[in-house]
Amino acid sequence: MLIRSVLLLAVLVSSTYALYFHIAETERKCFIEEIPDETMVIGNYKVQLFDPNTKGYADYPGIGMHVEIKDPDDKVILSKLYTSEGKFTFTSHSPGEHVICLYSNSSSWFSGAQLRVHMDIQTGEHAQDYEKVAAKDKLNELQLRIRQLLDQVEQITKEQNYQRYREERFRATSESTNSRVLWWSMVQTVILLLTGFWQMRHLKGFFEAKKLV
Amino acid sequence: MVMQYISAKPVLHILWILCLTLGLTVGDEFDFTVIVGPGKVECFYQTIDDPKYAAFEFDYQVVDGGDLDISLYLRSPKGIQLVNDYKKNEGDRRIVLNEPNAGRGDYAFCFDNTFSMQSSKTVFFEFFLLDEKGEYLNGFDQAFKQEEQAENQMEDFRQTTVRVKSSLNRIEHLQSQLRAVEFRDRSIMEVNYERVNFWSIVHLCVMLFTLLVQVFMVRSLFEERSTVGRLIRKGKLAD
Repeated sequence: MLIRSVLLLAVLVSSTYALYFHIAETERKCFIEEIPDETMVIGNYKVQLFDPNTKGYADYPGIGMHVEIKDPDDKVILSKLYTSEGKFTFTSHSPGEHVICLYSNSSSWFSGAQLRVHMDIQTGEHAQDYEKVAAKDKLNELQLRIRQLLDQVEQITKEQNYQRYREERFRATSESTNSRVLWWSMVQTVILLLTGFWQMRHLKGFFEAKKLV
Repeated sequence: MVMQYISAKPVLHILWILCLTLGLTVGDEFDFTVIVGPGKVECFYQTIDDPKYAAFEFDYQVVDGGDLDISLYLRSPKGIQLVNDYKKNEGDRRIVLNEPNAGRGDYAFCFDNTFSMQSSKTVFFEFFLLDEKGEYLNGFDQAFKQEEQAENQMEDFRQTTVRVKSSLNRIEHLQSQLRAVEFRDRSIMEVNYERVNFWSIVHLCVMLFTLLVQVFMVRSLFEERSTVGRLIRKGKLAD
């Protein structure tokens, strides 16, 4: 038990946050997650401020980060202000592209400075905290590993179904475009013939009225 | 022994609390989809210093926007540019960390959209941190070592489940690549649809406009009072 904790702690401590990038004061950085429905998404971030004295990036607890998450119908499903280190989580209720945007509330730090944001977004079974699951369902090591594999297979199946639905929509748009091309060409030919006919009739009447014909 | 166990309890509690507050274990693989605005450069940095990683794999694909191309620069912690792709639709690279140009530290990769002043590009990229065997198990093969009984059975079980996990990881990888390809094809299709509609309507309007102008011109040619007719017949406005 103690050894397992130490091992887990060693793994956690040795792996820092995955990716980092810089954002300016009013800049908004957005990430798109295309996920099927009923999928859990967890994001962890940590913000550091550029310190001109040390020319490096240091923690600054006063910074706040605004996290805004939109669902595929452009409806805001989460809009909260977090501290300089935070975790946000949401579960998708409709399949499609969810947009996760981060921007800071630039009140309490030097203007023109840059923020370094460390970020990690995980979806599906990668978002599960298996230590909590093991504690809640009282699983031993074997059961926990099997549960992880089962969750991963379930997520893959969900993703495949979503891809099938996506492909169906794609095929519908493609066929619609195809028939539209044909339809517009026919309409244009018909209109061309009709206008030509109308022009001749109109001008004939005009010339006859002018007694030129 | 019992006294030692009791005194270890608070340390255990602290360790558990620390584990839970540190959040989730960061994985060995992740993917993001970002939008690079017109004329902008978006840079991302990845710190790799864990000795258990032997290589990393990075692949990207432009799924939406303009001509579906982006430039990519990848810099090693030593400041050496390892990858310099100009206006590509997709690419993938595998960098071995023990190579002289690579090394451990902060890797920087930048998506450059400065060549395009009007369209923003949506780029999907994936990053995999691989161990010596080329797998990204994310600690799945650890923690089996604590079981003391039935060592052989545990070993078989461990090997089988690790193989299954590895295959499932590959499936997920292929799925996300297919998803990115489908996103790109869908973007192209939707752009085509819009284009067909737009240009057909423009064509129709131009046709109708031309029709009316033609009739008007021919009529005014034979009309004595109209200025346009005089212009056409004689080439000047006044008589």
